[in-house]
Amino acid sequence: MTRSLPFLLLLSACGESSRSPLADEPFIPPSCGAEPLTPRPDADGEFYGSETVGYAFLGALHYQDERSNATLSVPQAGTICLRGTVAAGQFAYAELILGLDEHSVDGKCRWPLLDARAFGAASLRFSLDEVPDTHLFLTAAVFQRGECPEGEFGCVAGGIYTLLTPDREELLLLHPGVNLAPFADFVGNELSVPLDTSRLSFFTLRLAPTNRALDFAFCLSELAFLDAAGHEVVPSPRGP
Amino acid sequence: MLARRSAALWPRSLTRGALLLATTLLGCFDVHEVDTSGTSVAWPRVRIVDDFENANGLPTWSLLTPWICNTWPAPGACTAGSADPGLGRGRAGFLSFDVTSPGGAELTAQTLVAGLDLGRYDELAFTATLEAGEGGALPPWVEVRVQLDCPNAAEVGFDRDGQSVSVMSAGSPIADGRAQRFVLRLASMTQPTWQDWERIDPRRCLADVTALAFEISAVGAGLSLAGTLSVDDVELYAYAGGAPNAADSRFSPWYCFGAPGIACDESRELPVATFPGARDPDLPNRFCTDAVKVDPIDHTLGTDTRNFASLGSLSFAAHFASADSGKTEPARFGVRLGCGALSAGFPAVMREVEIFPAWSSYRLPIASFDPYPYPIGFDNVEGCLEQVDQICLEGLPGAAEPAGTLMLDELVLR
Repeated sequence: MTRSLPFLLLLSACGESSRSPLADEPFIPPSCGAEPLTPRPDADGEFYGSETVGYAFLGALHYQDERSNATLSVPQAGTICLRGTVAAGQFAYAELILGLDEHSVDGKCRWPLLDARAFGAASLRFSLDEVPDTHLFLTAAVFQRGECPEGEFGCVAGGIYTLLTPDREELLLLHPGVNLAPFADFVGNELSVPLDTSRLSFFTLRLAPTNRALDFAFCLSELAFLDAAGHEVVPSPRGP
Repeated sequence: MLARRSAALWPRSLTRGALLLATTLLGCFDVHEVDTSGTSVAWPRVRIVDDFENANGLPTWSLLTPWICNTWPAPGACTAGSADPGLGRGRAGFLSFDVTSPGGAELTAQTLVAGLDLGRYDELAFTATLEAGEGGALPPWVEVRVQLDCPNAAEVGFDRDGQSVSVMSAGSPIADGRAQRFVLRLASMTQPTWQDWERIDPRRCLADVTALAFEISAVGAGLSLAGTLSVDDVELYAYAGGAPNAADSRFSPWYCFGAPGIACDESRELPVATFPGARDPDLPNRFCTDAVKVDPIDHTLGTDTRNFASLGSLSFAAHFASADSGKTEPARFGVRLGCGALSAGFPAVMREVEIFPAWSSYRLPIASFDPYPYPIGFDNVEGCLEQVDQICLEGLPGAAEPAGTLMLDELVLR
């Protein structure tokens, strides 16, 4: 009697396995038939711009409800802001996407893909000036192997991990100030399959749906990767 | 919540000396030496799914979306939300519906993660009321079904209409607006027979739940189903030794009440209460569990009594961490056995125990319990022990209450 969240429906549209890949499986790049993930304005207003902040590109989108809207802005270098309104209901939400480094994975297509393991990243750190009056939580998308001809999100189908509390009982709710997201606390479809940090595609800061329309505005800054000792580490130079 | 009954008022005029009870400090032992040959008192650890107190509709368990309603075969014949007052306290969720059988309505929340492992829990508890729409009546055999969707547990998780495979169980609230609490055993939930496109292993379903729904439906065709279902205090219970059977000695989750500073954490493996060290003179701070029973037919939860008179002792393990970190001496508590069904005024018996900072075990002979000071004049110890309906720990009447955190384990009756 119930429906899956539209985001998940969209992700599963590719028809890929819903299971996470094993970290040691050979990486198979996506089909070039899919569009890259770079957020960009389009005729339907689904995407609200593309901005570069350091090595990440960022965007906002919302789904399925014309009463929802979101606007992205960069008031200063290194700071990205999202504001708008989310309609009431289970199927309306907004999210700020932190797309990671775009690489050419097959010599032709460019795709957000970051091997965070290669430079020793163990967590993501960022600051928020405030949080909306709902749960704000973080997900990570892992690039899956296989083709994804039906859309860009198909390439991460089954590869969405959610940041939970260390006991894995609750969402780790984001808060004003400095937030730390240990990669070890991201949980996907199978608890036993850890986040594959060698194939990170993007992070999202997502507003949980509520049962009443919600105005929101928040800014993210000081985005950085940290190693296990808490020291900032930076990705290797971009590929071709 | 489960019968959180008010405590007896404490007359201010009684002197401290008159309140002191005859006490016997028993020896304490290492917890690992506890003799568990008696009957263990089974109480659950609690995962609150939703107490419906968030005005935004966000469930208490952050892994769930807000509740919405659906109806079938025609959609949209419902409204859902939360309203104040709820069932006993605060807000409650509600589902107002107007459908015709064999249709139905549901109040449902989905998971924000891929799937929840509810196999770690033994029971689902909730409080519900059912009321017919204005001027109407509901069929007497209307059911409230709890349905857990688990499309990932099947090769074909959804049928062509988008309906997920699931397991379910049902309670039958009386449609008179009276609040009833239901306790459903998760392991007894089964897949509906109409889901004939693929049969699933219910245990696998419980391990990968993507939605939880309360459904209203009735057998028969052409029956009007119009009314409101209210739901509150949806909780999952996990027992250390598995869910008790109907005949087993069952107690409620530990809870506490009294001054604002007292706090319980019933979500932990072992019950924990933090005593503020100060209390309302008319209302003692108590950390309690109630004797309860679940009707095996309609799954309603009710109060119960236990006959302690025929027992030899009550044992438990405990430790008390004083708020004063430098304090190493034991804290004085009273173990109170309530027998509210015996007479008015919440009669009880009590005995003192000194609880040490380190985990220790305590064995209290049943014969050593004395009348509680209130109600004044109560002295029917034997009668009270035959109808014990509540076990509490509290500061001693008339004495300074210890400030700190009390943790319990392994309560055994012999």
